[in-house]
Amino acid sequence: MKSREEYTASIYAKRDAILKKRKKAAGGIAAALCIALSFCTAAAVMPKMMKKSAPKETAAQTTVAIIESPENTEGEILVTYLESYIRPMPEYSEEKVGGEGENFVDDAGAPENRIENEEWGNKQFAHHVTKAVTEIALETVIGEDALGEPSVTKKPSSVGEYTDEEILKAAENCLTDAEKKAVEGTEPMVTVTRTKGGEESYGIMYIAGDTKIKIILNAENLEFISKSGGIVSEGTTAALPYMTTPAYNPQGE
Amino acid sequence: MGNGESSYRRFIDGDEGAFGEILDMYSENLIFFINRYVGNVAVAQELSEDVFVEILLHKRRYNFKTSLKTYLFTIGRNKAVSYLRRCARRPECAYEYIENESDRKNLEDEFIRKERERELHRAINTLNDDYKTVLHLIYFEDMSYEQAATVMKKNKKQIENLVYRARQALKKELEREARLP
Repeated sequence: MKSREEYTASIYAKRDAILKKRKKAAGGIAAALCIALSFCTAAAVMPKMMKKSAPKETAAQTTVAIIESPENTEGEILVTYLESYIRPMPEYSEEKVGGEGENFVDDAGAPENRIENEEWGNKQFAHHVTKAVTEIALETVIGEDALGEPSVTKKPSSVGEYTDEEILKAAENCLTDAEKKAVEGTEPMVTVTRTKGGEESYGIMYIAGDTKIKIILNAENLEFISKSGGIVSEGTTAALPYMTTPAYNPQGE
Repeated sequence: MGNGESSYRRFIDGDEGAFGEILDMYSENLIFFINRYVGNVAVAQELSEDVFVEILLHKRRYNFKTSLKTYLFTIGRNKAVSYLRRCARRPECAYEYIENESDRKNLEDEFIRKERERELHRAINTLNDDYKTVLHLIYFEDMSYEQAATVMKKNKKQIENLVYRARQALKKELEREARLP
């Protein structure tokens, strides 16, 4: 039989041995976990690394590689085949044509607006096909927002640049002599219209009895845009006699 | 709850001296109890050491719902049963611990002071394991049926039946010994 001291010492020794064993096992488990983790990481990273190490060759790179090979006749055929698929990209000359924003013309001379899209931090291009829109675009920044919707920055208003006399005189110049005579002495009505695109115009309406003539002028330069209405007299509005086929009159009477 | 539990509370609080008190209170009884199973004092001592190692490693597993003695004896029984199973698979393990006859005698002398109890002890050792264990717990450790049931992982009714049958068997054994010249 062990003495009391030996018995106690044996218990503590056994306890220490077990703790040591557990610690060692825990270290082993930790090491195994580390190895497993590194394997997992490697498994996750390796495909990406492999992709990076073998980048996709572009058509241009392929072409160069084939050309550099001296006796590659098949390659030359392939180059010709590939080049047939290369479409020339439009090149834009960065000639500024004035107005607000950055306005350019392409090789064909069509106005080209280069729009700085602040949200996306890149430049976008917009073609303007109609003359009116092109003219507006010269001084109006038109482009597309991130969603592809038209985005218009309106230009400053031109209203106020001309006096009423100048506007009326410009409008009178658009009237014929008969019209001038018909509306003589009347007080024309002037309205200002601003379109969504920023285009401003003056509408000058002459009303004299039933005669109504409306002249529309460009607010910016007082150029004639359109005219509607006209002189209305009693004679003009009266119903014309019913026109029938002349009665048969063989004698010509 | 006796002093064992209060010592255990102090042991949980970090009083190493309390562990010594627990050893003093229960170690020899535990060895004697385990010896009932394994029949080898050296093995019983080793296994009782393992019981206290468990206590040191898992201080907070004891929940104070049973007496500390019941708890320790339950662990002791489990250790003994595991040892016997291990030895059943690996017979050479029985020879790893050579029992010293003097140890066995010292242990018996420590616990069984009266001649009548010695006779009873010897008679109990002839019974099967369950009878030995239940009689030991009831008559040598003064455990209740409930405590014995906890240690032996049986219910109270099973313990009552076991005690009855163990008594009958013991009676027969004592009568047989009495008839011997």
